Amino acid sequence: MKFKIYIVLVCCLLATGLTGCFKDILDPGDPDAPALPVSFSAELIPLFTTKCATSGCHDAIPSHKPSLTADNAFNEIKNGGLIDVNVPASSKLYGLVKSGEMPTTGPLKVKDVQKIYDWIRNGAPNN
Amino acid sequence: MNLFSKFRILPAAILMLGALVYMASCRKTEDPPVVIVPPAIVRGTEKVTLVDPKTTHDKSHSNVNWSTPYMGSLSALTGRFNSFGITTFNFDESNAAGINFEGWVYLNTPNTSEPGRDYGCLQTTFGVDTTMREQPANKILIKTKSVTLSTTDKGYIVKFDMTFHGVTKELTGKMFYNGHATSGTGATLKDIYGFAFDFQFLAKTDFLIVSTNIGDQIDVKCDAIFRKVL
Repeated sequence: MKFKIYIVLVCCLLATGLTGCFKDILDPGDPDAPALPVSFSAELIPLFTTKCATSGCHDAIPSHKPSLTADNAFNEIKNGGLIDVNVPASSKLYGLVKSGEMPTTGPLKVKDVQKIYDWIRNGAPNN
Repeated sequence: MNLFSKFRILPAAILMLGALVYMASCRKTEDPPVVIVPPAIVRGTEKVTLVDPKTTHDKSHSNVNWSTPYMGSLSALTGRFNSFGITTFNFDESNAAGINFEGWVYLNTPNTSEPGRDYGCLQTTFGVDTTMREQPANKILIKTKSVTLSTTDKGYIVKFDMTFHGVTKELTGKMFYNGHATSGTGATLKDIYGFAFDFQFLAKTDFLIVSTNIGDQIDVKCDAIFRKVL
């Protein structure tokens, strides 16, 4: 009887453990729904600063172009063929972050990828 | 009852409590996105073709405009080309497979409202001179390769080849049908159709333009008008 109790206990622990530790995958919604306003300086610059403009990557004197520091990011992105405001989905920047190819330290959150996409769809303003 | 004595139930309770804490703490959930339902895209059945002898390209109400950052992004250098044309044009509003066009631009006809620049340094930058006409070096050629219906608006995603400065490269642009109006009376009655076509390209990186003044990226906005005599 004692053995059965331990079996039940172990089963309970396994069931709890296997179902308890997960990452919720939320439906990201339609990325092509009407674009929301995105501030390049307030929302994208912090993202680039922490995820991209790190030493040895896209910093001020970048090992890999473009430089995505706060001072350089807009001009480098706007003039470097990284975005296409006419066909936003064809933008190189969007393609890289959407596929997870960039940043190399790990993919951005879905909502951050959507912010980049919406900013391009809004005409890529320096706002 | 012996099995559930306090000495046996205590370890089990501790384990269960630990599992519950684990279950509650080990969850990662991203903030839910704001979901907005896009409006439905409704396209008509309009067709325009230059194959129809009653239809002509109205060059005087059409434009090829361009802009590029000057010296990084200190200002925008903007202009147009005075001489351009459309050699083939077929448009079927709801059928992307029925859309294609070809066009050309004389490179030596830039118009930035600064004659000294238009007939001076821009000619040098483009590698042309003002006497040229049909020479291949003087022409930008555009020819569609495929067209798909945009899923986000009433536009059309256009893949096309552009030949410029001795280089041919596939680019992607977006075309819009702006609708039509009727003008004139009697023998001059005609339908007027408007289209826009926007795209961008990298002049230095992809088309080997050498310049310290202009930016790499050139944005092009074209407007085209067609007239059909009724």
